Amino acid sequence: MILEPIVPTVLSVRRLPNADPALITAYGGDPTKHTALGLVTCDQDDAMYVALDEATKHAPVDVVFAKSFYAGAAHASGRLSGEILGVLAASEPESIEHGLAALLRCLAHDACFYDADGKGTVTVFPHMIASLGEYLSREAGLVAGAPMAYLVAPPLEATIGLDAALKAADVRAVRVTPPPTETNFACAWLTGTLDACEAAAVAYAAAVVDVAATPKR
Amino acid sequence: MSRTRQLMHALRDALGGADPLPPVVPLPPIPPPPARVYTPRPEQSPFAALAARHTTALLGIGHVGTRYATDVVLQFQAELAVAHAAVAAELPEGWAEQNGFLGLISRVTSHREFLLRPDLGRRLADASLELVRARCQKNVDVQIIVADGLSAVACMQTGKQLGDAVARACTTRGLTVGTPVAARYARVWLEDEIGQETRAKVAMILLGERPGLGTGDGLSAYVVYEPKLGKTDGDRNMMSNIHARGTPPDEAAQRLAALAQAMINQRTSGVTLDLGLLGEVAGGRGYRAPQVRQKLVNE
Repeated sequence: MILEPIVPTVLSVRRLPNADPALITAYGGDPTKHTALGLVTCDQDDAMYVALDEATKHAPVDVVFAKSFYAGAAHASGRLSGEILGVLAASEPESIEHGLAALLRCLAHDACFYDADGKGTVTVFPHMIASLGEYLSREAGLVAGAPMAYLVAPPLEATIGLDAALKAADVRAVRVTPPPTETNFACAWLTGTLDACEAAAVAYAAAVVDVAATPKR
Repeated sequence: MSRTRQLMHALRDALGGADPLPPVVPLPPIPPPPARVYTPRPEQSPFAALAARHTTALLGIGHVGTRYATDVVLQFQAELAVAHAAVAAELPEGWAEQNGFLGLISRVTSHREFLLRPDLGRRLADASLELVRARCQKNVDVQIIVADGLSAVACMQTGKQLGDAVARACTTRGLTVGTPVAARYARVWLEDEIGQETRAKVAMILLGERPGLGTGDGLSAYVVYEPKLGKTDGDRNMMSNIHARGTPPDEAAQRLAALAQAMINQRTSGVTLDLGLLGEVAGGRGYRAPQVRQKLVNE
């Protein structure tokens, strides 16, 4: 069945209640502000970015490190590596606990790729964020609380899909990342009104499904 | 459900991708039932095998486990179907006239009524009664009636052949034979009324007999001396199984003519008729070759 959710697999979740300042510095944190870290690996990088952002909405945590690994989940370098390592930093371990809870809830129930061809060989990430958190709003250059459509698909599918999404509603491209990325997918962030973003996300997914069904036309 | 999942769910429905059936759940392998296979066991007893050669009854058929063998069951069902078809058959209207008979009908008006009301099948309809009075030869020795009875199939197949053969045999013996008549929806006792109206010495009705297993084509003959309404079955002599595998019609005709002759000689019929005085007739009363069961089903 097409557009079935492909729920991301959380591969590892560990806490560092009192991390070494050198480590915090190396991973982009501020030792004067941060003492505790939460580390998560997962097999879907884009779902993780959304989930990290979700965590910043629920607890006083900062996303200090989030980077996709090369080649993607199907070609991970280790059993627990997955596609991404995300690091939350906070001034106390309690905040890390709340942040991780929100992050894991988002991965389990919200952010995920969808099966675009019914066989799982083409996937699409047409995610709708109704209200941006601190992390992605900073990355996108938008105000926190703005709606954003977070759209990811394989190279050609993403290109066709982005065109359809931009024409489907009154939206504006915040950032377009053409292939190749670390995972060789392509990404686009669109913003506009809530309804416009939703319409764009749906048009994007529909276009990817169409390409998956008829790749040569 | 998250907003994105709601949107994708709606899009899937809009694209017609919603599968009407749930995905197939793989089932664990189902072990075969603890079935016992029985080998067919033919009849062992030599006595049963010997008896089976002399009857069409189901003797010496062996068994499979506690049941009949499949070919026996199929043969049984086929024979039952033949019997049902014979009961359900009807003599077509106009059959009597097409075959040179005077057509008569009992008081029955439908085939269903014929099966449910034997009393109506024993009396002539008013129009037929007038027909008998107007058209039939009177004061004859033997009045022959061909009728459908409970098997119109048998009547249509050999009714005319047997009727003609009996008439010839009677004529050969010097007996006068009445106008040939054929009756629809007739029961045996209809011969009483017809014989009474024609004032025949002997009335003989040849009609399809109640079908048995595999024999839907058997005719019976019922013969009565001085026919009149009120005669009982004790006043009749009868001969059954007149068909190719039983008593062939030509042989039956000789014996029926002899029977009629004996009734006229002894001036009686039924239990008071002395069959010992009948003398030697075709086929005799001695040994007859056993009937052979018709194979209706190929193994």
